[in-house]
Amino acid sequence: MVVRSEKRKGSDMSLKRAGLGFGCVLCLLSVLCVTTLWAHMRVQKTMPEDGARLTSSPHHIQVWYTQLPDNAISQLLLEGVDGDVSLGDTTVKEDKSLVATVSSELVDGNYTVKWRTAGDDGHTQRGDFAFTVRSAD
Amino acid sequence: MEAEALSLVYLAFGKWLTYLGLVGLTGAVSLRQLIRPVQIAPQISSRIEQLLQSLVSYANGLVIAAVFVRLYAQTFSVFGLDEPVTLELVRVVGFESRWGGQWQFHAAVAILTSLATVMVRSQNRLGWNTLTVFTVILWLTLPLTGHAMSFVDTSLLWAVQVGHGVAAGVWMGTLFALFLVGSLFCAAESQDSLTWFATLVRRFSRRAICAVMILGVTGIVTSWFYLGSVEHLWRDPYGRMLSLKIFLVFSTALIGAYNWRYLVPRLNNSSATCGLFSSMRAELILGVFLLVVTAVLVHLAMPAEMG
Repeated sequence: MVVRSEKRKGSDMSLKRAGLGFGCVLCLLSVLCVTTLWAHMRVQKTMPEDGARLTSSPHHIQVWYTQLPDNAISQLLLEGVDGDVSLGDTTVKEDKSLVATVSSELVDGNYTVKWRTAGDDGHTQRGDFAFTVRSAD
Repeated sequence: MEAEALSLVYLAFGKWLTYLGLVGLTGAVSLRQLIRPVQIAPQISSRIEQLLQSLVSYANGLVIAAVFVRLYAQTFSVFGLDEPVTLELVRVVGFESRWGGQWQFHAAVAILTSLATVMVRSQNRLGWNTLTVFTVILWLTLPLTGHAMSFVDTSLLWAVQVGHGVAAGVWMGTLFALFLVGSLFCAAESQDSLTWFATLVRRFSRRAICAVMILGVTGIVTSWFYLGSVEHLWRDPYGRMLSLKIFLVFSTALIGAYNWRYLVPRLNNSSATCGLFSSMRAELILGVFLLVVTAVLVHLAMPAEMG
């Protein structure tokens, strides 16, 4: 019985050490990840341009990247003063851009385009840019 | 924790599990090649074979588990920040995205490696050779979902990444397998056992030196392409993480060099062997943290991409 309890103590210690080691690894992982976030793909240009003041509603939203966007997971969203604005399907063009048509005429106001995509290395990227619609009269 | 940071934790965790499994498989295969020419008593030899077979089983299990952890992590990084992850979204990422197309290669090979594992465990005479081939193919398919694919000429960087991975697997994996096997020799408590162990360690040392040299050269080439300039080593998050990795590599190699130059020549008694075990343990612990840092590093943006 003494031998069995010694063996049990030994395996308990091994389990505790393994658990402690695993915990250290997870902590290190978390610390490294929280302190080192960055982006991958770069946006080359947008249409409308970031911060643009338009006198009429744009026909479509387009974002050009440094790598070909992944069609399966790419998305463009448009937010306006009254919430989400309906866009057509997001499509990928050969010139490494994402494009979506604006379904309805935009009223005057501030708008934010949010995009999501991934490049050749599969890393998901997110970003946004803004523009304003202010009709000429 | 912010969702984006959590996403990076998941991705890095999945990659870390992959590295552990691949290093384990590589180590088992590599050590078995080292052992074969050495004349070892049959009873110890059969126990070593059983130990290596167990290592292969656990490592293969880790690789397969990591395949699915990485799929979930990738799905979370794409969709999980905006909505709950569902099976449908996992399907989209795994089978419709570009990343998924490459992931499928690696997943298929990981599952096929189970067949090789079964062959090894059933002592099929082709088992270990088959496992060696599948382990190499696993290393070949791993960079398909990484930074190397971002460049115009992917073949060179892909080859460099494969060389880097295999060298790391041979060094760390064989060291780990040797550490496990060494306990059998020391338990036997005979001068013959210590002699056999010393022979194995010397054979491993030569292999480890070659592996470290390949690791260094491939690491320098990769850093050259990914960093763009030396100043990124301290100015950029990727560079700072790479600096940490380089520090850990040097520290680990320093312990290995101490073992090789000071402890291994004195491996003729049990106290020297115990000293070597402690040193090997320190080297392996540093190796585990090295793999963690690498797992995070491969998910950060390269300065060369940022321009």
